[in-house]
Amino acid sequence: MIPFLFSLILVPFLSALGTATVRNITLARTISLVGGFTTLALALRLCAPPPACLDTRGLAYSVFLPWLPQIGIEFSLGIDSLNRLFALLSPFVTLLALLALNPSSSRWLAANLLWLESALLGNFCAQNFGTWFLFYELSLAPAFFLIRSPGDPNASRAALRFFLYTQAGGIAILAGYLAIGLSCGTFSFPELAHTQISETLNQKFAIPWLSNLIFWLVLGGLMIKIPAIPLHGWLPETYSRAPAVAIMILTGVMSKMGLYGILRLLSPVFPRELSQWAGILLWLAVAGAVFAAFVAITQSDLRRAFGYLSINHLAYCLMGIFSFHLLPPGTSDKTADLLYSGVLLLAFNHGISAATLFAILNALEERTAGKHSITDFGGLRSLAPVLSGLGFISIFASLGLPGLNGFPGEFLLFVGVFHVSWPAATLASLALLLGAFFLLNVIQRVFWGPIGKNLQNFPEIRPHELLWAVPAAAAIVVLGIWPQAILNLLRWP
Amino acid sequence: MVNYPHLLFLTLTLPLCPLLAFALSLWLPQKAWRISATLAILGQLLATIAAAALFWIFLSPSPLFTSPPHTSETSRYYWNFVWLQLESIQFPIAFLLDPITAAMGLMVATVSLLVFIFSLGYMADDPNSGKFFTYLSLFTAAMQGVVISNSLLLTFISWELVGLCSYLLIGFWHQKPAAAAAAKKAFLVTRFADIGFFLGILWMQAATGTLLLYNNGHGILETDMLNGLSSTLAFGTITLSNAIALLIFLGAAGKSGQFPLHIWLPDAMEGPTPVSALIHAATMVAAGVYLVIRLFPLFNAAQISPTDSTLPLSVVTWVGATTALFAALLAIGQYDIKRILAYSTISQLGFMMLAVGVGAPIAGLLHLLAHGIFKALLFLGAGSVIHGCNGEQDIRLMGGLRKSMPLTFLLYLIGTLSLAGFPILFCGFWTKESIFHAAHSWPLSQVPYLLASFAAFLTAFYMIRQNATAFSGTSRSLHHPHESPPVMIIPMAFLAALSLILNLFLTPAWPWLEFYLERKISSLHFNPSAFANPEFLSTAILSSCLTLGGIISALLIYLRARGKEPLSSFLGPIYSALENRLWVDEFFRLVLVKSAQALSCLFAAADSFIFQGSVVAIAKLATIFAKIVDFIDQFFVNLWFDVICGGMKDWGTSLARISGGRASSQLRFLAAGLAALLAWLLFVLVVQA
Repeated sequence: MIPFLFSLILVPFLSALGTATVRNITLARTISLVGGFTTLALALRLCAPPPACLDTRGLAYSVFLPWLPQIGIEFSLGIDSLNRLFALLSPFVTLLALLALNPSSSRWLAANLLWLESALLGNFCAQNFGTWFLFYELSLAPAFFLIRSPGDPNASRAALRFFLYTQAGGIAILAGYLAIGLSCGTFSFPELAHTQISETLNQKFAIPWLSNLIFWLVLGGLMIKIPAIPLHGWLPETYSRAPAVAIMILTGVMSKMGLYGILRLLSPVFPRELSQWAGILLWLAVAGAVFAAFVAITQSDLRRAFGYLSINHLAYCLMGIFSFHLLPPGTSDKTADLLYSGVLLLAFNHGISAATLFAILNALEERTAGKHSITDFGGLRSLAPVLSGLGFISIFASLGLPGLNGFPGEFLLFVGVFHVSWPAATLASLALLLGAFFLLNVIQRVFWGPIGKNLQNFPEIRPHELLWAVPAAAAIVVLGIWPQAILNLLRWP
Repeated sequence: MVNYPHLLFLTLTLPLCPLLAFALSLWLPQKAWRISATLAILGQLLATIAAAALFWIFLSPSPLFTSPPHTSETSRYYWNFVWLQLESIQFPIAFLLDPITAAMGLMVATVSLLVFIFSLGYMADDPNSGKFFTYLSLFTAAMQGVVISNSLLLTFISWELVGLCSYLLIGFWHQKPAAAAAAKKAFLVTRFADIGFFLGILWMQAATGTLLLYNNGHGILETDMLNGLSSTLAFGTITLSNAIALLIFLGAAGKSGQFPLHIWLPDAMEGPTPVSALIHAATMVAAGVYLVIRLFPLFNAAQISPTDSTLPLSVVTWVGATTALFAALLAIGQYDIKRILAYSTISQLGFMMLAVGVGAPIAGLLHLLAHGIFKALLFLGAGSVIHGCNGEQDIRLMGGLRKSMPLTFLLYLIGTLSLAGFPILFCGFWTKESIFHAAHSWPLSQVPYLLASFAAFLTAFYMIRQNATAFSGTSRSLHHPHESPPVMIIPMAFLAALSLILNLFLTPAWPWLEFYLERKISSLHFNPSAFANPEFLSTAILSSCLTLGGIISALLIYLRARGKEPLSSFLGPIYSALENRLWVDEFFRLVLVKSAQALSCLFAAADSFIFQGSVVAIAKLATIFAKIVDFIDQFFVNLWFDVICGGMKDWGTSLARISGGRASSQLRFLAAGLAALLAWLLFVLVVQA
């Protein structure tokens, strides 16, 4: 019998192969949807309480294959409290994207979505750096093909830039981790968490600042992936060129890869360096949140603007992570609990609401031959009330309105950050106001007001669009009222 | 196990019935708007009945329920439930029932119900009336959430939902750019203030570890916690309780339109008139004052002696008094019938804040309740006028409506006199009177009292100005005004009757409502001698004189004005300053909005040059590197390769020449090889020997 996590990664991969090779478009779409559904159905098993028999490292469903045993690289997968949510998020968002995909669009797009999903799942489930990096690199190829929509030279350039920039980050991570793994003799995450990396590194190479250098290399690489200011430069161009459906995954799941990477690759390994730099990093994250919110206001391109909004939300998550490391040892674990839950809850819910925003943008673009400037629309509330209602829900969720899914995570996170540093929380709350300013501008100019030019034949939501709209809206509302559903998943025996 | 489940059930009915109506009518199409309206009214009716039952409970002895005896201490019920459960910490959603909840809940439910019924007539022809009733239901549900909350978290959640609904309803006619802009402005101004509230909540959680108001001695409004909060210094000489109270007051000031955050309220008139009635009377702006009343123990914590006041209460007092006077002044310069009422609301909210600030939260609450009733009446009256004049809102273009709309005129007059505080006969007089009384005995300063007294004079003046200009004289209207249908008149009549009846429960001789709210109704006696109390008389006579003075002067000026504005020539530039609302809006637009936009342009430029530039640079570097590699490849690697290849080729040719297949040459090589081998063997033998 194939192990559970193997099948979780293989099902999307095989359906990607199927989708790409089958000639018949309808059949290809069917394969892609069945693949997406099956993956989600498999992943839903993670919602159940973990099996009673965890392995010695506290992992569930673990898979272990030797690979390069001489240097401690192995193929190792496993679920713990940290990656459980992410392994659940990626199939959901991918399925939303597959459903949002125009039925007549090329099967190449669907195949790449599935391929990317497979790589992301592998990355989230990896328990060894070798495995992690394998899937990290594997994810770049489908992402590259997703962004590079054929026939658009700008998109090709954007895809190349994205690839090179992210690859630079990947190399930094690889270099850093090779030094760590070779000096410790293991690349396994659970084992690395118990070693005193900084001491080992500095003693072995007799360079006192080496551990700091490696810390910054890995952090920089991960911050590119999120992206976090100041390493977010690839985002605007990529977001304005890539197909909106691809951005659903980029912002919904791929950005979480960076956040998750910090929690997996850095937090357990470099506690000393993190607490040493966390003060500066916290303020960097706060500045990033405010900066991104400010920049979002001036963008006329809705995709770029929502991209900056994403940066803003991810910066809140980073604030939570860095505040966590700013806690002096021995403080009550209440604050740590708040921050940990807040970061994961916000990351999960941001994945859903940001993906929904881009799904709606995709629907708007399909109706206007690809227009996505804020000035191209107007009065959609009168033309398509249901679609606009969906837009309102996801916009207000992004705005952090209580009752929708953005609020609980934001609340927990801000309570925690306030515990650690009230000036940081206060300044960051300015970004909450700026974000609201931007989002209400979108409502005013896209959904409200007089009906825009050439929009008279703007169709209302179509039945096949309800397939993604209903689950997305339901998730936003239900998780807003009952966030405990997700909080329960954070518990691990 | 839940204590008193029937009380909890009734308390939860207040928000849940409208919420259910919202959830159901959300799915109905516009064609079924009458069902939406019915659902909304039915939900609100049930909530009103529950509110009345709750109100009844605190009458002692309670005739409906066998509950424990209500003394001043025990007449408070609360139920705390966990909403977010983390490993080591939890966040509750909690509900509170006491006489303040009951009275406020009853007022909100009743006024909302009557406004809903009125809307049945007012919104009948609107193409989106179904959505209108849907939003209205959510609006009152959220407001009731604020009313029954026993935790700052639930208050904040409901508070934001109130903000959302006001946004949706102010922007209900979103095709009008002005309405869309007004909705955005309202949401942003209140959200700015809410950030203060939010930070206050965060601080409270950080400092005390709880957000519950009452929790068996561990809530933030209970003595232990208050002592702790008021004995810790936040910074400087400001105690923790003071700092948190000030932050929360920022939120309350935003919602309740206190100066200078009042700017959203007049613009909110862009919404349909029933919405204005709700926002101004029962739901939105009342939330701010209600919150400060509810949290009064926190604001009042660490008061050293009765002759002193805490910092937050002083701030509340001064802000309230300033707002009362400022808005009353601006009201004189307005011509839009609804805008005048909007400024009057701001001014009255200032009165309420003043009352809380000088230490009389119950007086503030009394005014809030009475104001809710007569302000709803006034707005519905204004709606009836606008409906009758085919959408005209400028009072200069009305005139003579007394004849064409006699019922509206009569009811509007009752509202006007209640708001103006016409002595003895109208309820505004009594509630304002108790505010004056409290302000007069404030130990720190008499200035707020004087400001408020002047504001009371202006209130009478601008209300009579409005009334006289719109209703008396001859018609200046281009349309033919007509009286409104009964479905609109009857709710107004109810409200008018309520405000007149309320009068009976507010006099100092029999202050029934005040004693009810203070939980000492059992000791209430009819005491006519209270009228002769010199303390009462001194403020009462002064305020009566001011009010009557305002009424008479306005009558003298405006009864013969025929739609002209006599004050504009008399006051000159001062009046035009009032007309322009003292440029507060322009100030904010210039200072805040423009600077935010400038900053964001600056940041965007920095972003594209520096950060996106770095990506381009990396991509360029990679390309250049690739070109260099290509160059090296072409001219070095390939060159060597070519050289080697050429060499190999030549060598191969030579080798091929060797192995040409000719036997003679092969044998020659074989012979040479054998010779070499023999030579080697010989050499080895010689060396060994």
